[in-house]
Amino acid sequence: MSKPFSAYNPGKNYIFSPGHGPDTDKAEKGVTYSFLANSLGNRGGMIHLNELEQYQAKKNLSPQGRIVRGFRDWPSFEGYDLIATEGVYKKETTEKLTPGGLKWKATKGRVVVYEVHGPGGVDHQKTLEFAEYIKDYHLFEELILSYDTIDPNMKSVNSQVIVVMPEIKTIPHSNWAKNVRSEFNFMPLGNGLVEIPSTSPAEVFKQAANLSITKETTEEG
Amino acid sequence: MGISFTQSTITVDSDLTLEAGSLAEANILLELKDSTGAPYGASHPTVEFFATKGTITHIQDSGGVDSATVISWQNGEYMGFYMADSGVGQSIITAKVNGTLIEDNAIITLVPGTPDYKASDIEADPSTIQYQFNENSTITLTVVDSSGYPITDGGHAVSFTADPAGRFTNVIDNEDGTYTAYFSAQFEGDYKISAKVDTVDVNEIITISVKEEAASMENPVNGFRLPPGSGGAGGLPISLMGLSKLPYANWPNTRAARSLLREPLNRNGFNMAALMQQGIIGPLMPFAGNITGLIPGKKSMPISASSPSIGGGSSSLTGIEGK
Repeated sequence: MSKPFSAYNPGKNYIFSPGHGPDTDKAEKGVTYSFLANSLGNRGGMIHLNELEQYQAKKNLSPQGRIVRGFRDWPSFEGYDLIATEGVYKKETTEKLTPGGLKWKATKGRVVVYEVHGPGGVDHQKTLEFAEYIKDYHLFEELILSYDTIDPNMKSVNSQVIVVMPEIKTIPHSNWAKNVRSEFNFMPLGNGLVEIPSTSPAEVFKQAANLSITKETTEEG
Repeated sequence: MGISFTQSTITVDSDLTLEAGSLAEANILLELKDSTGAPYGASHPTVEFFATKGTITHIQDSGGVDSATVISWQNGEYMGFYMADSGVGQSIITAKVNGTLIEDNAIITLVPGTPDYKASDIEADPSTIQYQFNENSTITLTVVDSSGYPITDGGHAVSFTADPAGRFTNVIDNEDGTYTAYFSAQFEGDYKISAKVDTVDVNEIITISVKEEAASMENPVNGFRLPPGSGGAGGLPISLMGLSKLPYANWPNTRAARSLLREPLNRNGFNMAALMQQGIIGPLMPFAGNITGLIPGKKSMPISASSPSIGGGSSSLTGIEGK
């Protein structure tokens, strides 16, 4: 029986708050993927996927459930909220998407975009930490630490974590490439998780272009 | 000895199941008794019958005289006449004697009659939807009987069609005589929705209007919808995208912009410089600051079953190594 995914309310935050509330119970019952599938939508309205699309989208979303539950369980994230801002994408009939691109993969439930919020909104440092946590402890096809300055009223650079999963066939036979990169305003910033200062966009652009890497962590795997 | 409201009884002397709306009748017998259980005939009380569904047409005493204030009351028996002239469900029959309710009651069950598929009712909620939000209208079909009362069970083969063609989800049998499907369409227009029940065409045809709503403060995301035929924005002027009208300070709007611009084809289609100039989006320039840290893109810890219990079941990750 085909049921549409729930309506996406663009005025509502879909928050996974670890450690308290009914969301935790839901996660423990193994329906975290429903949190993702049901709370993420197009730019508004309902998503209608046919049964086969829904089946595959849910399969592709299911590894994201591990990440959401991991966020809940990891002590360092206590008191922070995980917000999924983008998920399953239903393209317009006339819309063209780049094959193999992020939005194209999002139509198959393979992409979820997360933000880590603290008391003051997006927490720059915790977002980086979340990305590192995913990199170290989870399987994925691609992990992107994405910075942007889209919001003209934003007081600091926005940071998000984009997790791309492979087309899930069987767990061992999916492409868990674990590619990690960073981007700034949709342009490559470098391989790995690149940390930039949590300053205002204007300040970022004023700074000189000489890049200095001040921190190296962990050994190559 | 007075009337016992606990000993007195109400019974129905005919079939307890009647067809709803059929005007079928049943007789209801009230037997007044005293506290010993013996028939009460010492006085002549006022008797009233009540039914939660259907109608009490009249009452009479055992002498057969139509009246609410009977004359031949000596054996304590009073008869009420019930008519099944309402919808499906249970009707609870009660009685009052001199204004006091008798504790006993009787139940008559009103069941649907033969389904009349052609008379089935179709409703759409809402009857107007905006297609750019992928909005849906919930179509509900209710199978009714020849009296117009809903059938209460499922199992019928129901299908919907739209003219011009739209999209329906599978029909859900709610197993209560109603059937539900969700309708959506991708083009503006009036869609005529018709239905079949067990291959019989339903008489009623309803209309759903599909419209495009202009961008507004309430629906700021709307402006980011790609116009039909634009093929990923297609370099259309900004004014046609409605972006200049958008309350850019509204964060869902920013979120929608971010989502849209992840697609390179969209970025090519937008005049990014103009968007920045108008304050729709912030300055999307390449990063030119100082990087404060770099964590290499290789896993820094082995994945094994003995890893901390994070990630919702690390044991299933055993032996699977990323590069």
